Amino acid sequence: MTTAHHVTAGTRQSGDVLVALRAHPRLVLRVHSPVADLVGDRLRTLGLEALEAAGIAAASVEIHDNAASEWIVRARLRTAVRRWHAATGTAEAAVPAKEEKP
Amino acid sequence: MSAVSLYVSAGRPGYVEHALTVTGVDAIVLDLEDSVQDADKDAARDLAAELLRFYDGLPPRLLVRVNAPGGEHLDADLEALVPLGLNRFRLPQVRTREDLDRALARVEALAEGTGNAPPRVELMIETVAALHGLEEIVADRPEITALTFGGEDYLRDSRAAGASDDLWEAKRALVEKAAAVGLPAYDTVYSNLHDRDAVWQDAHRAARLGFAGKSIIHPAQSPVTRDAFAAAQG
Repeated sequence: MTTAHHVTAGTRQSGDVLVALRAHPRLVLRVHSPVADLVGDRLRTLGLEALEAAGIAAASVEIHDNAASEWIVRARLRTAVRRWHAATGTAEAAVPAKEEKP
Repeated sequence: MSAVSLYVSAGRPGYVEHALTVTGVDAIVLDLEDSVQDADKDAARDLAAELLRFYDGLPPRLLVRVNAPGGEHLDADLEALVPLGLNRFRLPQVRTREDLDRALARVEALAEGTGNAPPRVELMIETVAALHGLEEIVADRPEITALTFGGEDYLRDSRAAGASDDLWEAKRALVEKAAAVGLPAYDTVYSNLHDRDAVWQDAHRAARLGFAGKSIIHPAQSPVTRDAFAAAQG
């Protein structure tokens, strides 16, 4: 879903993750997961990496995880930041065809 | 010997992960087309791309149903996925030889320097025009490995064209034409998930007609479909 300066990617369904970005004067990232004690740090790292790579330094970002695998989180983050750039009229950073796996 | 392929929507990542572990199917078709609304095409494409990154190419058994020629989505699908290793795909809604040539030329250009194996394409027959022009469409195209029937779209197209809406008549024609060009034909999905006898009868009739396999939309359809094909093929 995309409205002016509010975009989402993904869902809250099992095995998925919902990423939401809203306009905010600084960068705030919140992670929600039923297994946050186990995956919260990793989700936070993935989120910050994606935001930094996309050049997003100011936004309120919520990651609502429902036991998604890492490749799914990466996909949802990629969609969310592209939609954010489209909604805000900012430039999208180039994405290499292949990236190093963690 | 039958080939059962399971469709899974690229809009449902939880289902995709489950599908990759399902036994009793020969292929998993990650769908970017009918099961994904236009507003979510980008998200589905991103999901497919990350899956290919994770597996460093296509996982075993997986192929991708890309979007149809002529629309805005096919080029985006190919540009995102071919450089990541996509070389097995189902191509829907092809109407003419030009549709196929244009899509394969794009794949060839995008695959240059990637080391991808040559493309293997299952061509979906979903229009009256494609069925009538089948021989010309597939001639001298070794990339085409199978023909798959798209029942709902074919029915819509044939009604719009004022042609016969007898699906089994079209299926018979497809099987005959597939045999003439030396390609296996796979039957369309059957959407009933709750009536075992109906699923079996539909698959059995397809097998008796000469289809080499069938697409399914739920893993529970697999054993019944296999059983029906085995019964029909003796």
